[in-house]
Amino acid sequence: MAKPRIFFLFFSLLLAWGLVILRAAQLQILPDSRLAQLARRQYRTQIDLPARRGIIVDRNGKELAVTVPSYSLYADPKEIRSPRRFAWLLARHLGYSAKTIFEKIHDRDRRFVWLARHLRKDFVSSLTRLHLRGLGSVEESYRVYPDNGLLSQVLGFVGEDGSGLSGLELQYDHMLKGQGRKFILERDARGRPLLGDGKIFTDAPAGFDVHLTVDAELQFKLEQELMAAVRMHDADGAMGIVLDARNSDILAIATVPTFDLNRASQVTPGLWRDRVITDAFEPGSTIKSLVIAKALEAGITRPNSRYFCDNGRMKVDDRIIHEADHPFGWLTTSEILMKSSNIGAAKIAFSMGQDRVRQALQDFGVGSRLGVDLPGESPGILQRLPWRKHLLANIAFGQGVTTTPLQVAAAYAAIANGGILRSPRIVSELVNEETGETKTFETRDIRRVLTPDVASTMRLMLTMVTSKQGTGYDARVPGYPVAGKTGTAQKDVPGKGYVKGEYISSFAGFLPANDPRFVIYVAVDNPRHEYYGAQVAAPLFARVASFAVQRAALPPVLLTDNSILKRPKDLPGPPEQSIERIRAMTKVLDAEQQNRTPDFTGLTLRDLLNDVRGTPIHVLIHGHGTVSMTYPAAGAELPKDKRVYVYLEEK
Amino acid sequence: MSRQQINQIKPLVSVIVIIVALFTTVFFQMEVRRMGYVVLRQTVQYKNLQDEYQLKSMRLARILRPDHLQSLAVNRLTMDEPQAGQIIHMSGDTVALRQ
Repeated sequence: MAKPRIFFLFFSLLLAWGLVILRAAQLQILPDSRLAQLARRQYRTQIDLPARRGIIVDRNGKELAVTVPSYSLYADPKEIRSPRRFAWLLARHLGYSAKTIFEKIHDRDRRFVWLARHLRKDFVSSLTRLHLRGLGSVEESYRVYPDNGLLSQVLGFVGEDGSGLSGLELQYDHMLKGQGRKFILERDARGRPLLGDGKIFTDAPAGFDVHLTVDAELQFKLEQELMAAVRMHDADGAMGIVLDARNSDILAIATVPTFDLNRASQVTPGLWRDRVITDAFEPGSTIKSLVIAKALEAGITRPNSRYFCDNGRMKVDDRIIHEADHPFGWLTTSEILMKSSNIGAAKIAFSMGQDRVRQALQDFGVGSRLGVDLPGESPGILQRLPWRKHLLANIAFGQGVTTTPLQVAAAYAAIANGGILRSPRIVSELVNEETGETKTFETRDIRRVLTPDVASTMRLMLTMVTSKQGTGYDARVPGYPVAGKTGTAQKDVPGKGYVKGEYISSFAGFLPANDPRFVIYVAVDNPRHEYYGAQVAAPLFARVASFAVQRAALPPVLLTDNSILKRPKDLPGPPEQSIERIRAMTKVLDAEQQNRTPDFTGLTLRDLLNDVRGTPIHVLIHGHGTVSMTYPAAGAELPKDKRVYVYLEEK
Repeated sequence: MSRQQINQIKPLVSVIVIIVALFTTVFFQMEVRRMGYVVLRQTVQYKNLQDEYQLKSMRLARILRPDHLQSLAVNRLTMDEPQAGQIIHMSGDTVALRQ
């Protein structure tokens, strides 16, 4: 009886084991896509490498916009066991109230909530060490503008997601962004990726770097001077642009007031606008140069051709045209430019005819875009023909037509460079540091507008504007001949017409006039008290131009005895140390040895630094002039680190 | 050793060779895996250094911003801005053009 039971047990076990072995064989040998997928999910992981946004640099390689890594905190409300405790613990570190954090995380249906963005790595590490369930961090990148407000409207800024929203950040967003990369790698049981090639992580993808033609130092000076002019004249704003006369590269371009790019979302959107490109307004008398240049080109006038300027009052159709300031009698074409006669310019325009005048302005780029690589360029307005005679006269002296500062500067650059209108360039090249790929943007000629001879004649005539008899006398830069034209235009507000008492003062010019290097246009919007271009814009031009030539180390063209320093061997040698100075230095040493603060009162900075040299005393200077007080005070005990704060004051 | 003895040893040697080969294969695979972890640590360190470099570049750019340099020059070094038309330095034996 026992034997059948044994056989039954044996065969049952055999069957069971057989089934197990068959099942194992089936799993091991026969292919099963579902199981293979599950297996792959277990031992594979996806790594996302976001591209680092490219940087923006000036012509000397100075960083204007950079990307730095940052870390952001998020919460998974579903994973949080005790939301109140979670909120209370984090509130102390993040600086929010616990209530604010609790409101974000109390909804258990949400799986992802931002808690704080763009934090420092060490700070986030300290929080993750709290091992709070449901708290996570993700690496992001953060755009920083080290110069705060420098070139603010042109650079633009990015949004929270890192996409460009204005300026160059928007214009070149697709190049700056770059392409992120995704890798699928095997991972171990702890989730660590198994690398065969470490280069996967070392070669982080990056976008293109944007190299500008702008010089940051010149840009800063331009912005500083524009702001000073706004303050001095109580104006609404100011604009300026500096071009390289040879190729129309933009060396500086500014609209003030500026704003801090690191806080762009907190300022009025109106400040984001780059008025040099976007705002077209009546240019005033700066346009006279263009009309007269074309009249010379056509042979209609000559520099010495004479025109009677009706003693300051000319009737055209049913209107009266006046001079801006003084009435004039007979003037030559050169004098019309020099003294800025409206009636003289109108008469030259009449002799040209409306077709020629319109074509002249069109040739110089008025009424069309120059194609600069910045968003929002305005073409300005140049009215269609036919023009009434009064309009023709107005246009001759810059009213009834609108231009942007960029257009005026480019037109003057054409005069400066010998007659070729060029499209101003602000981006010189795009460089990808990772791949080495470079895209270069060459200077683009639009058309020839003047012959070299006429351009040369115009340069000479415009130089006379800055002579003693000219309106641009205050635009002079000692040592360099300056050519240019003042402009004073009534302000035209849309819907209101000309606003009484509101003007735009401007000056457009270039230097050195004999071999132009810089073309500069500055305009001040609605200066109070004084408003003529000669009073407001011309001195502003001179300050900017002076810096530009000093920065470029251009040797002066016009020299006087005052400009020349003696050669070093003719200079007297350094003075010997006087007995008094030696006694003073000894006193400092004695005081230091007694651990007392020496008495520096009345010393100049040079004497102060001389006296403390070689001693352990470390002075921290504030102000300039002579020493007025110290901390610690003279005779008091020296601190352990031997630091003495020294305050200087002008007498 | 006689031929008979060699024939007797052959199976043992074969087994030993196979075992050694298997162990060597496993050892090298483990080494590859270990080197992978080393490379991973190095790449993380490299990335951290890159991040630090970017941060320091940004700080350097902030220090070198023109308004900061100007403030240092005026307040700490008591320097003055050059005047319009001021010639900072000239050298040379010949006198320049007199006006």
